[in-house]
Amino acid sequence: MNTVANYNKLLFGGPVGSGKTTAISSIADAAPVSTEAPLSTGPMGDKTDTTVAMDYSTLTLDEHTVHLFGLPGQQRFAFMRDILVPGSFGVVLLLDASSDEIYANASEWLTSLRGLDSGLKFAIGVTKTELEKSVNFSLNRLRGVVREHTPTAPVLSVDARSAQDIKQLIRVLLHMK
Amino acid sequence: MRGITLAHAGCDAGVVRKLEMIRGLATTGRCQNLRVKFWDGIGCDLVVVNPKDGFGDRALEIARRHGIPALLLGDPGGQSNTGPSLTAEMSAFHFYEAIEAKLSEAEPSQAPAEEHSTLWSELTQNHPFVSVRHGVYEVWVNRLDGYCIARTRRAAAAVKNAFREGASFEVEQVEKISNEGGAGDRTSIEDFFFKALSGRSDLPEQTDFRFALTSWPDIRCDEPKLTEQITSLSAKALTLCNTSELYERHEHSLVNAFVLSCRIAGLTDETRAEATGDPASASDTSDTHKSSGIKAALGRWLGLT
Repeated sequence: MNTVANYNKLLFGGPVGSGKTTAISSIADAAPVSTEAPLSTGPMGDKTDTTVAMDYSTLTLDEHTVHLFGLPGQQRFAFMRDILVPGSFGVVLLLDASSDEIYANASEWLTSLRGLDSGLKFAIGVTKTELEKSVNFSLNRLRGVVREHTPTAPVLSVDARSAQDIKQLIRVLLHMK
Repeated sequence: MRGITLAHAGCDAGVVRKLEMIRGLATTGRCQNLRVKFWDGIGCDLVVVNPKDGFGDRALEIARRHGIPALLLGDPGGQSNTGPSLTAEMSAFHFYEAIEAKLSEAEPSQAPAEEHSTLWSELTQNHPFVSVRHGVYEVWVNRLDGYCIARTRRAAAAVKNAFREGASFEVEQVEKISNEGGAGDRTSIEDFFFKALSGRSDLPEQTDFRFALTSWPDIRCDEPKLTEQITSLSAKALTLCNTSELYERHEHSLVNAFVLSCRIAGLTDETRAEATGDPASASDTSDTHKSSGIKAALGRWLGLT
């Protein structure tokens, strides 16, 4: 049986609407077990629900099972990070390029997760870069913010719906020391 | 050699037949790979129009607006067409000659090697805004936000394709880049140049400096094998190393394109590498993966070797 000590958990973090549930769905063996509830603030564009506890699914590879956990995006459920971080080998941190808060969100998530485990590895995926609202997004500014927290975290533009893009984030995570 | 697409609008069947015969006549030049089609929009390299025909006249107007070279059928007198022209009575061979002449006139000449090195040195200087122009197509490099922007996908593709073929460019530092008209076609600088340059065998070797990346390059790739190579190159280059180490493990043309793209994007820190280079830290991390069963399994799933 896999235990926490096996480091067989991969976490997906990021603010509300950044694409965590979608990303897990794109690579998991089965649809994730979700804890979706209607957004208390009302719909955000097309998004009407949000994850309140976690998303969970698995990826079976040979004799191994990778447990995929999606952390809830809302700040008030941040206590779940404390529960889920131990035993994970890395975090795929997804950030929404169309949000004005992307730099603050990056800083908040990196501070919070590194506070729980300073050795945690990150691969950062920037989503929604193709949207008109993302026209003012600066990749270099985000890189600057990330560098303040962790010197070598990869930052890549991804489409959370694309298994290939999410696999690339995991691939770079495995390459990180 | 890249194929040339020729569109025709308002031409009679006899003219179209002669246009279609050109490919068989050509043994050299651009017309060897000519594709002839009915005008259906701006996706062509050259258009032959009959301006006396309403449809032809409309196609001519659109072609001029988009900078697509046009050959006019009939007496060119009265038209603002000073280059080669066609008449319906000409033989297919004369059509071929006129089309080759028009393509030569429209396409910027191939740049000699010394011009290329000037191009690379201009592109790798760290001015915040740079315009790269090939014919009527333009792409802007914005080093402040890390993106390459083109007004349209067609412009981005045209510039990328021209880079791939080694055509000449105008590179100019500009004061400002406008976001007017929305995002257009936007991709990271390193992604744009890597895709434009990979596959070229004549790029300068990047062996004259020690090399370290300041950030992971944002290169998106559809081909799994190439993606793995880029991932591996990125990981190695993030630690301090000499470029010769990259050349030892990867195809030279790939490393040239990768390093040059990262230099253009301003992702390299040569000072840092010079000061504290530590080749040992650049060793492949695949051994580390093997130490963990779960990571090795993930690596196999992702196609990492």
